[in-house]
Amino acid sequence: MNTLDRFARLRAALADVDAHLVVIGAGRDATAAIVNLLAEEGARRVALTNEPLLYELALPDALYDAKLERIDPPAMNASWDDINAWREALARADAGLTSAFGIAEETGSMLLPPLAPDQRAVSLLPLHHIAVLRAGQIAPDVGRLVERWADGGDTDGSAVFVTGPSRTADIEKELVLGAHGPQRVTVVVLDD
Amino acid sequence: MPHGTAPKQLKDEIDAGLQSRGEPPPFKTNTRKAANARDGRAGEWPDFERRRAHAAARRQYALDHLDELHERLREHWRRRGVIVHHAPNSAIANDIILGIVRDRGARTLLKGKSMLSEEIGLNDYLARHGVEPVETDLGEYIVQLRGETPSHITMPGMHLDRTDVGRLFSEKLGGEYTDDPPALTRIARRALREKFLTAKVGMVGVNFAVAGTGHLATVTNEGNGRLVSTLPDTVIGLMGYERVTESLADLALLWQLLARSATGQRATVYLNMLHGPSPGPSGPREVHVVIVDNGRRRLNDDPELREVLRCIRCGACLNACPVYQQVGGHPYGGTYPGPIGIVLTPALKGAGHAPDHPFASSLCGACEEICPVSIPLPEMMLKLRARSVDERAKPDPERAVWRVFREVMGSRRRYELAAKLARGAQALWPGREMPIPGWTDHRDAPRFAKKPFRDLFHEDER
Repeated sequence: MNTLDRFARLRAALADVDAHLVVIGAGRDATAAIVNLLAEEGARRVALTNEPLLYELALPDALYDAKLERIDPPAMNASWDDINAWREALARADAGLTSAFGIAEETGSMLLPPLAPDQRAVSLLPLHHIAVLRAGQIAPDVGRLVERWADGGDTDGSAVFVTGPSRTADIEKELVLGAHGPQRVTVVVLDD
Repeated sequence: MPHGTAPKQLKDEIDAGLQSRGEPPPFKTNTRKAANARDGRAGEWPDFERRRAHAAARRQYALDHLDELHERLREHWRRRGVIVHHAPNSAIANDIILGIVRDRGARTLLKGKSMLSEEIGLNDYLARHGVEPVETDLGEYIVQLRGETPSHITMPGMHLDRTDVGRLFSEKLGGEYTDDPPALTRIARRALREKFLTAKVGMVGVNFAVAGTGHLATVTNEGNGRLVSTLPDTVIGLMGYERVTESLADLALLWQLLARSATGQRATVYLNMLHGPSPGPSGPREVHVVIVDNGRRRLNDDPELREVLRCIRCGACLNACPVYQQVGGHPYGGTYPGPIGIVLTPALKGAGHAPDHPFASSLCGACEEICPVSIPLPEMMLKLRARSVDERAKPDPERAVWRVFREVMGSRRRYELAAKLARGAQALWPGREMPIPGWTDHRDAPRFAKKPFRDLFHEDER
């Protein structure tokens, strides 16, 4: 299967769960593209995790330069008050930027690994969750994604699989997006 | 709608339910939608049957090695600092949970969806002891506001339509009436956000504990399960003793089957894997797991019924069941309705506790066909019927009828005499059906021929 086909399947799976795929081709400025994405939807308050990929893309600086209100993750020695303030800020944030361990093409399910200090709330409280991954992190299906995680040797810590924005159909089985979690999910794949 | 009906009143509840419902009842359309969605998704896997067989085998393996898997779990939990509690029955489970909440100085318990918490009667117990349980799953939240019990395993508000919810929110939460589902969801989201951010203790129902790693896996679509298990200081995972699976690979398969069977999704939006307290400053500082027995270990030793413990609580059997489609969940009483309920309730509590449950089925087999882990439910219903009859108090009118039948059929003379009497009795209701108490309420009585075949045969011979 060539790379182009592979993205089509992921795009369709994400569309089925009302999530979006943005592919950034090799050679393009990924950082600028992501900042652009945020600008296009009028996001002003953006939270992020301290995952390595986000730093490799120099996103914290880029957000600062773009004059966005950046919500940084709490320090390891943060006080309970600091944590609370951070969560309140997340709850008001327009977008939360994270990376992921990998994504399953068949279902569009992302594995968000443990982060310290626990920053999973970045993918949960803001209205829009944006996850950035490299193309090599795409696995064909959930079984193989889990295999990669298990075989990788480190399954310690709390993790979560995320498949699209939060939803409920508890009223007459009519689908509503954005129940308690994000209303919008965008997966950004760096095709490098 | 009844608050909580007792399993013993099944027949009466079904009659009452059939008479009082609207046309068509919401659960009839909702089950159809769910069943269709499930069929569509199952069809996507050309090897669906193979995966289903594998899942059944993995569930059975876990049940066959339950104690050993629990030992492995305890090892991981010890290493990760998870506090383990064993509850042999509901009373002890409730006591343990209340104790944890009180120790934290909390007055509310934030809850993710948990059928097991219904089974042990947790909400009532907490309320009676001054702790407010707050349901965060939208369907459960709605049902709780109405002061009712859920009527379906995966869609608690199956018996309600949007106008019911609209009236409820406007009455209980204030604000203008709306029956638009997105608007109603936003109202609930706002009302619950505040509670999420301030709760000290949260509790989630554990779908599976993974023996290979120690993770407590919880499945939700709304995100409430994540919020409940990551924000509060103290998090409790509530699980039944049988909810163990050996590996992450097993979990991956069971998760996808659960999603496809319950709602026709390829995967639920969230599969939360709680491993223990967080090392950093945020995230839960204390994680407890409360493991409830409540008859499960004894059931696992019962060769005729133990396979029912494979159940992954998808609710597909409810959606497929022609009885459930007509009467909904409330008449069944107890916690679990539908085909799984009519086996599980007497299996866990004894046949005498729910004597009519195994009879509330036409044995059509739709439940077994749709079950993602191939539980032979109809066969179990038959076994439970036998037990129910054995446990009946004597004298039992039905027993007497069968004894008479055996005597009559045992001798040709008695049979012919009985047939002659029946033909005579029939003549008392010329042109109409002979009434047989209890029997002809739902069936047509057979008509006896004026002359039996054997007489006609012999006449012809001469």
